This record gives sequence, C-alpha cells and structure tokens, in this order.
Amino acid sequence: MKRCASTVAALLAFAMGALGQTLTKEQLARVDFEQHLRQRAPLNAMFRDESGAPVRLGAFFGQRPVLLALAYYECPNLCTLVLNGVLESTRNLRLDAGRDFEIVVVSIHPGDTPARATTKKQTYTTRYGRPGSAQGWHFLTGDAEPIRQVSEAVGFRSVYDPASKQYAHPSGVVVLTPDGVISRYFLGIEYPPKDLRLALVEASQHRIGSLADRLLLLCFHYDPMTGRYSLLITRVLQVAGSGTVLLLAALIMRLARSRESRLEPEGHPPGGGSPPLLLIATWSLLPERASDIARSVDAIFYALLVVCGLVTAGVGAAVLYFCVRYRAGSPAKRPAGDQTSVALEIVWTSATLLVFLGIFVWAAVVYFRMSRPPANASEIHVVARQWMWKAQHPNGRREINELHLLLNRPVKLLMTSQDVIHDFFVPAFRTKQDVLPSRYTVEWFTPTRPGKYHLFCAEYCGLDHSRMGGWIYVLEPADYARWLAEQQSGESMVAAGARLFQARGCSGCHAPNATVRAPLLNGIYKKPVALADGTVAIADDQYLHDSILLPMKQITAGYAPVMPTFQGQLGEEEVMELIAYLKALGDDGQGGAR
Amino acid sequence: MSLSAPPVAPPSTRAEPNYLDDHSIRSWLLTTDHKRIGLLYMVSITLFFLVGGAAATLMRIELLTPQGDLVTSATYNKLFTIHGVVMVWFFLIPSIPTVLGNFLLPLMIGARDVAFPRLNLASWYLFMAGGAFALWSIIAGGVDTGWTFYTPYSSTYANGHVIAMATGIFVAGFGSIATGLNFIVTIHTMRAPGFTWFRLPLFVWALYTTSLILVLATPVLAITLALVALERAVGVGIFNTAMGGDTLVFQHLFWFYSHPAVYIMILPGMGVTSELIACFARQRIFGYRFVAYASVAIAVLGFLVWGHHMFVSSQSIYAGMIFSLLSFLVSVPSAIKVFNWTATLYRGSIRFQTPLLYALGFLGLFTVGGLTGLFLAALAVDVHLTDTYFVIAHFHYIMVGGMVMAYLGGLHFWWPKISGKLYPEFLAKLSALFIFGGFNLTFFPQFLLGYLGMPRRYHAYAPEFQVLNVLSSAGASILAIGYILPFIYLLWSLRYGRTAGPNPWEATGLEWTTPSPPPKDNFTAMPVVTEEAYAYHSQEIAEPSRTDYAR
Repeated sequence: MKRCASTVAALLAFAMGALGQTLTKEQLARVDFEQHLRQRAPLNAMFRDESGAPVRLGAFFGQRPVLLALAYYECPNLCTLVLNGVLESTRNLRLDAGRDFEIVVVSIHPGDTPARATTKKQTYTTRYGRPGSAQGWHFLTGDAEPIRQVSEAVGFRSVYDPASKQYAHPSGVVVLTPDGVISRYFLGIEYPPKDLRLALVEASQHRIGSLADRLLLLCFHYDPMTGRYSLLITRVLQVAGSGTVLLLAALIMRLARSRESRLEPEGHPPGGGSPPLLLIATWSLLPERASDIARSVDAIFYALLVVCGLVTAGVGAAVLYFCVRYRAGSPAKRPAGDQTSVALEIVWTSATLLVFLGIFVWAAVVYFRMSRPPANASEIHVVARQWMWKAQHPNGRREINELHLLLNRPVKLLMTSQDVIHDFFVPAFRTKQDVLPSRYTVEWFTPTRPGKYHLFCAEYCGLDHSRMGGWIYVLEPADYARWLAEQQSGESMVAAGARLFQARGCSGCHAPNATVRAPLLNGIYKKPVALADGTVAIADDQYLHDSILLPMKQITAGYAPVMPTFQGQLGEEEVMELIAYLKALGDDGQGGAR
Repeated sequence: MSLSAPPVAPPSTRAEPNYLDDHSIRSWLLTTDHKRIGLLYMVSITLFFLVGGAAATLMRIELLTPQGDLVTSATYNKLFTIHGVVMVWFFLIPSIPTVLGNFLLPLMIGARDVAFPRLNLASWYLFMAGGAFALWSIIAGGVDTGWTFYTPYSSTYANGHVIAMATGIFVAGFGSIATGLNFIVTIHTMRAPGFTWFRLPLFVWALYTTSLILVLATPVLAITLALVALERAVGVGIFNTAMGGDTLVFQHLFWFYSHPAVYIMILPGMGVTSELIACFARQRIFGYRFVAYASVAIAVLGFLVWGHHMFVSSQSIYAGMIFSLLSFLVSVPSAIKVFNWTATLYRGSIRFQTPLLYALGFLGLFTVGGLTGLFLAALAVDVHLTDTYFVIAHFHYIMVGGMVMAYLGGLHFWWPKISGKLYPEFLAKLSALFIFGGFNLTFFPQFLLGYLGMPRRYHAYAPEFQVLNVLSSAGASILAIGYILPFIYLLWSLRYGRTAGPNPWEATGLEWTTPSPPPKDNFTAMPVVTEEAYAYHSQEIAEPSRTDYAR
C-alpha cells in the first residue's frame, strides 16, 4: 500500500508539474476522494452512451453490482493508469464484466464526445478480450450538471486548470450495489484482484461469487485504513469465543451426565468390539472416583485447572488484544521510551510465586496423607512379576490379576517385585506406587464405592507391559462375605510362614534350643536391632526381607555372620509369609518352636 | 542495534563470494566454518527427525485401535524407544544449539568463527558417530528399554542392543560437551568491541546457559550409561539389587542429567522466541534483564529438581516435598518469560509474518506445557498423573509445541540469512497453522487420556480410551502435513526463491549487517557495538513493512 501511495503521490506531483503554476495550493488541497459509503448514486442523472444516445445512469444498475470510475478521455496519465488498473484487476477475476458486474466509466470533462468514448471502449474491450465484453464496459459522456451530481455523490473532488486544460483529480474506483448504494472504494491505481472480487461479491448481496467467496467474506472485512480486505480478527475471535463457550457447555453437560451414570454400581463402560457410537456414548472425560483420597486429589486438580485456565486465558487474551490493537499500521498510540517496569516484574513474579507456593503446600499435605497408611488397615501382600500381579490376603487366599476388597475398609498393600520395576496403578483410586525388586513399597487406600475398576501396570516392564493389568472389585459386606466363602482359603499367611520356618530350617538356629547361636526372633518386628557396624536398624519388613535374602547386608552385633542366603531358594511370596509369621510372633519367649 | 558496522554493499546482479561457494564434498566434510558445520548439523538432525517421526507415525497408527493389532508388542516397544532416543538425543538436544547456534553465534557477537573451529567439526563427527551407533542398533534389531533405560530392565532383563544404543548416546554426548565448551569460550572471549553482556541478544544468553548445562550435566549421563553397560556386559552389581546394588540410584543419576536436559531442549527455544517477538513487534524485549536472568535461574534451579520424576518410586516423602517445592520455584522464571514476551507486544507495531506466527504458537503451547507442569509438580496430583499420557502430553507441549515451534520459527527467520533466499510466505504461514492446529489435536486429547488413567508405553489399551486416541492420531496426520510442507518449500526456495538481501526483516542484530549468505569470514571489517540489543522503534514504523513480499 505504501508503495502504491507513494507512486500516486509521485504521479500527482508529475501531473502538477505539467499543470504549471496556475493552481494555488488551496485549490490543489481540495483535490480528494472522500468516501461516501452507504450513500446513493444519482441514478436519474442523464448521460450519453458511446453512440451519443441519451441514457440514464440508473440503466446500468438494478441487476448487477457496478464498478464506477471517473475519468476523462484526454487525460495525459492518471486516468489511463486508473483504467489500466481496472483492466488488469478485472482480467484476473473469474467474474465476467457484463455477466456478473458492470464497469461504468463517467467522463468528468463536459467537452468529451461519444466518439472519444467509443475509441476508449474499443481499446479496453479488446484488451479485456472476453466474449460479450461490449455489454460490460460503458464509457459515458455528459453535461456539467450530471457530472457534478455524480462527482459529489461519490466524493470525487477535482479541480480544472484552465491554463493547461487539464484536471487535477484523485485516483480510484468505486464499487456500488445493484441498488446504486456506494459499497467500497479502492484508492490508487492498483486494485488487488482478491479484494476487488470480494468487494463485488459483497456489493452484489451475494448474488454472484462462489460459496468460498461468501465464507471468505465472513472472516475478511474491508479495512478503510488500508483499503483492503483483511482478516476480521474480531470476527474470528467471536467464532472462536462462541466455540469455546459451546465446548465448555458440552463438557459440563457431559460431566454432569457421567457423574449420574457413575451412581450405578456397575459403572464400567462396555469392552471389546462395541461400535464407535456406543463408545462415544459411554465415553467420559472424568475417571471414576472410588477412594477417599480421590476426592482430595481431584479437588487440587480442579483448582489447578482453574488457576492454569485463568493464566492461559489471561495471556491469550493479552496476546490477542495486543496483536489486534498494535498490528502494524493500526492507529494506536505508541509513545517512545523504555517500557520496562521493574515494579511490574516484581508484582508478577511474586504473585506467581505465592500462587505456586499455595498449590505446593496443599498438594504436599494431601500427599503426606496418601503416604501414611492408617494403623487399622488390613494388609495384603502383592508380588509383581513379568507380567502378572499376584496378591495374597491375610487369610491366605491368593488371587492373580484380581483383587477383591471390602467396601470402606482401609487396605495397605505391601508390594515387591520378582524381576523388574512395576507399578500398581488404580486410576479410580488416584493412587500409584512403583513396585521394586528386593524392596518393599507400600500403597494404601480406602475403597468408597462398590464396582469394578482397572488395575494397570504403570511402569514400563518389558514385552507385555500393556497387558499386565487386571481388575479391582470393591464389594459390599454381603458380597464380600460371599466371595470369601466361595473358596477354601487353605492355611493363613501366618500358618504358612510357620510351616516354612520349620521346613526351611530357620528354627534350627533361631530357636531357644538351637545349636547354632543366632538371634531370637520373638517380638522382633519393629524393634531396634544393634548392628555390627555400630548403627541401629529398625526390624521392619524391609529389614527382615533383606536379612533372609541378603544376610551379609546388615549383621546383628554380637553374632557371627554365618547365616546363609536364601536367595534363589525362597520366592518373594514365601519370604512374605515368613515375615507375616515373624510379625505374629509375640514377645512370649516361645520362639520358633511353635 | 545501530552500529558502526561496515556499510552493506548495494545489491548487485553478480553474486558476491559467500560461504557456500565451494561445492566439493571434501570442502564440506573438512570445513571448520561454523556456518557450514551448522548446515551439516541441519541435514543430519533432519534425517534423524525423519527416523523418529516415522516411529511416531507407526505408533499413532497402531494406537488407532485398542487391541494392538498392527505391530506386535515387541515392535511397539522398540518403536517408542527409537522415537524417544532419536528425538531427544539426535534431534531436540542438538536442534537449536547446533544448527542455529553454530550458524548464528559468531555472526551475532561479531566474530569470524567460534573459539575452537576444529573442535567444532570434531563435535559433528562425534555426533554422527553416536548417531551411527544408534542407527546400527536400530537396524540390527532395536532396543526396547524406552529412552529412560530404567534398571534393572535395561541392565539385566531387556533383549536387544542396549549397549550399542547406550554407546551411541555416550559418544554423541561428547559432541554436546564440546559444543557447549566451544560456545562458552566463544561468548566469553570473542564478542565484538562494545558488546557488553547486557547488550547481547537474548538468544546468545540462552545459548550460554544451555552450554553451561551441556557441560555440567552430560558427563553424568555418560557415567550412568557406562555403568549400565558395565552391569549388563560384565555383571558388576551397581543397580541390580540381587547383586547388592540399588535400582533407584540409576533413576537419580539418570534424571540428574535428564531433567536439566529438558532445559537444554527449551532454553534455546526461548532465546529464539525473544528474537522473533522483538523483531516482528518492532520493540525492545520488555524486561530484557529479567528475561536474561530467568535463563540463568532456570539453568541453576534445573539441576535441583530431578527428584520430581520419582515421586512414586519409593523415594522418601520428605525428599519428594523438597523436589516438589523446587519444581514450583523453577517454573517461576518460565512464567516471567511468558509475561515479558506478552508485554513486548504491547505498543509494538506487529507484522504477522511466518516467524512471528511460530513465535506466537510457541508462546501459547509453551504456556500450556508449562502450566500442566504444575500439575505434575504438585505431589498428590502427580501420583495419579505420572507415567500416564498426561506426562506425554505435557512434555510434548514443551518439546514439540515449544522447542520444535521455536526451531522452525528460527529456521524461517534466519533462512534468508542462511540461504540468501526467501521462501513462499503463504505456504509458510499455512504450514505454521497446520502445525499449530495439528499439534493441539494430537496432544490435547492425551491430557484427558492421562487424567482418565491411560498409562504410557501401552501397546494395547482399554477400549474406553479409543475415542481420544483416534482424535490424537487424526491430529498427528495434520501435524505431519505441517512438517512436510516446510521441508518441501524450503528446498524449493534454494533454487527458485527470491533473493533475500542482507536484511529482509529490517531486523537489528549484527548478523543482519552482513550480506546474505554471509561471506566466509562473516564480516569484512570488525563491527563495533554502541547500543543495546533490539533497538527497534515501533512508533516510527507504524506502517506495514515494505518487505511484506507476500502481497
């Protein structure tokens, strides 16, 4: 645009040089193209057509939009440039002059004759070169009065210089609707075909042009500053904004519905080969919530969602607003000087810090609670291996890839792995804990809603990682009792441990009447043990586990390191049974002989 | 910056001698010119990007259905390992530093080359040697440990060519260290007269802090991988508990490198974004010093947060709390940067050309990526979200939404400087939109998947996750178009693009004072710097650019 404007300025200067000094500055200042948008052209003004026959200006209106140019046929340069601009631009249009729109050139010189108009018409229709173009291009001549009427209506202000017999005049073309209402101006001498096309389509009230043009016009608008069609950012924002609101509304409805559906006990979506429609119908954006801790986790999650949503929306809105307001060429004020404001930096840094610290504390408190199993939790032993979950209840009942739990009873899982790292993940409980080889980890939760929930392995563990899962069943007391009764549990974990303690020869040393001197294990669980290296260990599950499998790791003070390792001889499940037995051993001096 | 730099010669029809003149293979393979080494890296990482992208494509196709029916689980596990290893070490970490950094650093600070040009070439050979090991291990049958190489799986249980892959990363790591050293010395010793630290473009600050991390963190990765190889090959018990080792030690060592590595992958992107926003808003970066200090703060704090990858690993809960707190702290400087970039637009004179579109895309996606990081830093929430698709979505918003957007933005911004040619603006804008839209469609559903509880690295998944997975795969196909387009039109522009001239964007910065493509020695006379960076004046140029050649 800038280039275009400067060319015009240069041309004007050139024209003025040709005009000589006869026009005063004031007169020249009058030369202008005022934009009289939405005003009516004088359709009753009478002109002559190329044959000299009188014709109403309105004769060219009614059906099609009109591209109107004011010029005079003897003009030495500018008018020709305007007409050439029209020609160049319309030649690149898919729209046809005469079929889709009319091109009307009105001479501003009362002295122009139909003969000159005919010459001009022949020149341009030949160069336009489309069949039927004679019907599309009209070169009118007329008297001073109708010329004045038309010039004033469209805001075309020219000055006649009697000395050079030339006009000083602005350059540009006008697009009018079929009703004769002024719709668009294109100033200068180059009219981008895309913009011209959109202007014509718009002026036709969408009677011409393709669907694509109409869609384009929804998003592009005429910018009077630049005289071009540019992306209508506010319109885009409107669309995006309404879209977001709709999406949010859909989301909220979706959530509300999925919460209702979750009240039913068997809330699980159907599996396998269900058709896509069914999938969408059962598709929820929220995971099921089935433990007491889940509510606390979700609360933080939603708070974070709100905080982050606000920040994103704030930054996004600021960026969009600045992008629109301070786009190159916008009239917004831009005072000079360094903008940096230390106060602002301090404010947003400390505000961010405060909000972040608040979230940190909240999440840490909940995490602390998640990490501390209550004393009354029933203990279930879990052993993971590639690629299955094995669980054992205190009564000795074993399960594989399934876990049946009693509603509202806190459960503590004591877990270890036989091979690589696994992770016991129950999305509905919002808990997850890595399961490590040779190490006990603990996970606990209180199931609060009956149902069937996914158990996933969440730590990559090799080939069939994605199939290492199962189901958690949370049962009402009656159902739980039925499940318990379904199958004989066999011996309890403690009984199994006691049997192993004898069978594996533990009692040969760790008993009051043993021949080898080894520590007595009565009541050892959770007691401090003095070690040979001077430190003190607490005899927890991990300590007992390691003492069986890695006896050289921690040697009890005062005893010779003679214990053989049971690694490779005892599986993790057997070690767990032994530990269950050791835990059950009271401090009553009965020893391993029981 | 206005400088008393040598006046740019008026464009002439005859091509001036430039760094691209010698076409022999030998001249490329033995070059010590930082610009040519930058291009060597560009070609290499593009190839690696195609390898990693092909793996991602296969994964997304596989995940269209829940049953895991396209490839076997063994293949799938190898695919995500290839994707992770190649994208992290052979694309993202080298991307901006070695391509744009190598090309631009000396140009930006007014030097003729980096401090150690031959070491620079050696870095590329190390990188390629590492890449060769990695590619060999892929061709020979692949590795299925995931890019994280967690023990004891990687050291004891995994089949495949773990040691070859680890060797590749190990060797390429030395290339990283050498590049980092080279940049640090170059920035310290080779700035043009008058170029004080606070006159440096923020991209140089970003490269400096990145280099610090490269030099300090990469050795730890080398040690860790060497130990894994030692345990796997010789059976030294370091991580294997059955041999008296400790599994968690691996995770501590690995994340001590890999978390700072995240900042290796994002700091240079932040630097590029600063350059782009300043240029196309015609404004000095708002709070220049704060943005510069934020880079340093991120680099320092980034070393203290590795434990946030281990909240469910059975690490002490008190350690977890400290790591969580520090993770919240490290996100503050990132937030400061976002706010400052936004404020830079204020009172600018904004031209919406391709590089700015990428920069704005970066801003949006990085904001989402950064904020979702808070979910993962918050202890109780992380327990649910870690190892799910939420994590995948989060770090792809940072790595792909952030770093790759910035890399492409930078590539478009400096392409006229690199090649001397202009690319077709309309196609470029189109591809930026494709990438932004496709990216969001690919990765936003993964946030939802993660919250719903879909674990990562799953070859087959529960059927209720299918809708979101299909959306994600659909987005990936749009994203792919967005990535292929620049590949085509940038190549096209090499031959058919219009001549760019020395400074098509009317940008400040020394690199724009020399011809495009620059002469072999960068500058014909030593530039002298008298002003701060980004001496743009939005109030003077409230007109659309005359270089808006797209019209």
